[in-house]
Amino acid sequence: MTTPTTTPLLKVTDLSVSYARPKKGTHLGTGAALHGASLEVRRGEIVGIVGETGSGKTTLARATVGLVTPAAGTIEFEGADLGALRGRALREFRRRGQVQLVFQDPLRSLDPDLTVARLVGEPLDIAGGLSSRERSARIDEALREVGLDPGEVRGRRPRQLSGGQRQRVSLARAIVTRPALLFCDEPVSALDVSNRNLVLNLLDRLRRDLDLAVVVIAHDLSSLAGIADRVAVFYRSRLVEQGPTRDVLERPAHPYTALLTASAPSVERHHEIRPADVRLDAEPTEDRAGWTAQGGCVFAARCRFAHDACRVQPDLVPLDPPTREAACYVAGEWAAHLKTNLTQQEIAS
Amino acid sequence: MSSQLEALPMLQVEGLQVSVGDHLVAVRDVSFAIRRGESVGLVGESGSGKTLTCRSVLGLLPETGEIDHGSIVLGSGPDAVELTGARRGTWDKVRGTRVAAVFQDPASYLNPSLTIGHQVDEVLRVRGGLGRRAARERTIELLTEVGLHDAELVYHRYPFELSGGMLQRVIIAIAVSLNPELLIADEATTALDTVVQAEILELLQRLRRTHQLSLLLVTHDLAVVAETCERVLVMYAGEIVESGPTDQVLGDPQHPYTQALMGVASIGDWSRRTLDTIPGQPPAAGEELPGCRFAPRCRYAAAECVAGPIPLAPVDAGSGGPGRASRCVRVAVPA
Repeated sequence: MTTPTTTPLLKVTDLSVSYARPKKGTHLGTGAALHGASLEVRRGEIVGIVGETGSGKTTLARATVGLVTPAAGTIEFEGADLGALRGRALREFRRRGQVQLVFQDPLRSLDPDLTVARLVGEPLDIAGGLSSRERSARIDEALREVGLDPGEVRGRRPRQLSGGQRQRVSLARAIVTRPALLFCDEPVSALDVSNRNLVLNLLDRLRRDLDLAVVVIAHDLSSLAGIADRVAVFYRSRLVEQGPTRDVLERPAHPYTALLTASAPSVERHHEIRPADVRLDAEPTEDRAGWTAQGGCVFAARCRFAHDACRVQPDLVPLDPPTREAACYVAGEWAAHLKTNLTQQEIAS
Repeated sequence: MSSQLEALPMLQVEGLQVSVGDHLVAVRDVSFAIRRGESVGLVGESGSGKTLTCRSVLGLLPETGEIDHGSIVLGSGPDAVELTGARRGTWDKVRGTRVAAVFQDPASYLNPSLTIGHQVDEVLRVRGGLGRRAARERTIELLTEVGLHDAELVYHRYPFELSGGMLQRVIIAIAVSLNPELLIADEATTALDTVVQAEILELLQRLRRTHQLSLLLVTHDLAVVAETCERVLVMYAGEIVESGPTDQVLGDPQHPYTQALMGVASIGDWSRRTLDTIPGQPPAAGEELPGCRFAPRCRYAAAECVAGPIPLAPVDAGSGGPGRASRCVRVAVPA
């Protein structure tokens, strides 16, 4: 468990990323892939990130490892501003491999022609400064750490491994540089449930063994809930809610989080809220999509509880308890209206 | 199941064996029936043979795939058609009109250079025999029915302009356009976001009622079946290892593999916990094993499990009820 007094390893503040300037007259919005997102991750902590396709999860990962340049905001790692790093300092930071990214599909992210030993050793070659014996020892150590037998898999190529083994090779490759932060982008989506849990348990163990900070992007809420200490929910380029995992998923404050948890399939139905309770049944009479384009709440178009105030995007504000934050004017309050079945007007007034 | 009509099977698969490549048996002794209007879930990990089974029903086996023996009968009474070994002419009368299918990646089933309206119209005009205007009207009706708002606008859109969830709705509209009796959904919601997945599953349920469709839902996710299907078939390494009414099978799984699957499925629990896994790997396709194919991974495996083939046997009325079966020697042993 985390001690809240420690300074965060990663501190993302008001991060915005835009991929392209939108053409005039198109409805593609502002082109922003990430809009003022703030996130803190401490050593030994697992933070889960959930949200639909295109909500900015991957953009956050890419910006953190330096694959895209933010339009605004800062990314601090161990107290140093990554955005201020230039030239030599930036290359040096990357070479050290302190922040590693793990991708969704190991078949696509691992070079099919390389053996496991070469794949896992590659980040060490980039970092440099190791003798071949040290290098070999580090590769074996990383493979053992992810539960693979080096003698058995070193000489194999990705095709000759099962899906779960391949993703473990990806993880070995990520931890071989002894990073402080692991960013995993949908690490288990391509796997069967059993392998999915295997890899998630492995992440859970790695953060304990290596005191890693781990950020996991996932869409399987139930598995994520098993290992993540905190969860951050993204919707349409904005962080709309974050807090301790169980709190957030059991008592969602943002209507989108509620829709998400209610929609998650489950072999036993524990959720009290059904998707239909929080879903907008009919198309709204006002053009709520227009609200979003004009700076209104990103969820307004699909929100059952949207009212006039939502024409302005609410900020992410602390709730009670302050470990939780949500960007909604009726955060948590909307739940009271569920069973009484109020109309839109009644909620607005 | 009050009326006689509902009790008749819409699809009856008997002793199906499918092999792929160099005579590797990938589906063994698969038998099941789906009644009119019933929803049945076919669950298994990748490589369990669930996709080959439903592709056999659609006559869409890969080039190296072959039905070794068994029968697949669609419909009953005078409408019954045997689909194994059916000729092109038979398939043309069956596929799309009596059996339709929806797959995982909707974008790859639509022509990127034609509008949505054009592609739905085409089916209605070529296969349904409608005229231009009637087809257009019916298309808009269908698009509205599958939950696409502003169907007139969607009609003129190209596939790239729609989201994955919207495309899947278009594919479903095409699938039900000729009023098939059976709809096969093979991992149709796997690639979708959680919220959209729930919407598509609700849509399939609604269409099942309004079109009196029989639904065969193929998925790796037990949780999806739990919320959607009346009966479930659990497949492992090419065989059905357990079958029965969903609530009974999930509430009291008889086969150790089903129990293991329950352990790894989404249980709607948001608390911290060690996640269950199933140790070991399933056997390779075509691997011949003397007895139970799950035995190498089973915590209860005993000598009798690998002594000889294990049949899919009815489960005692005491622990289950009618219609339940399990392929495990422990079923036959009185408790």
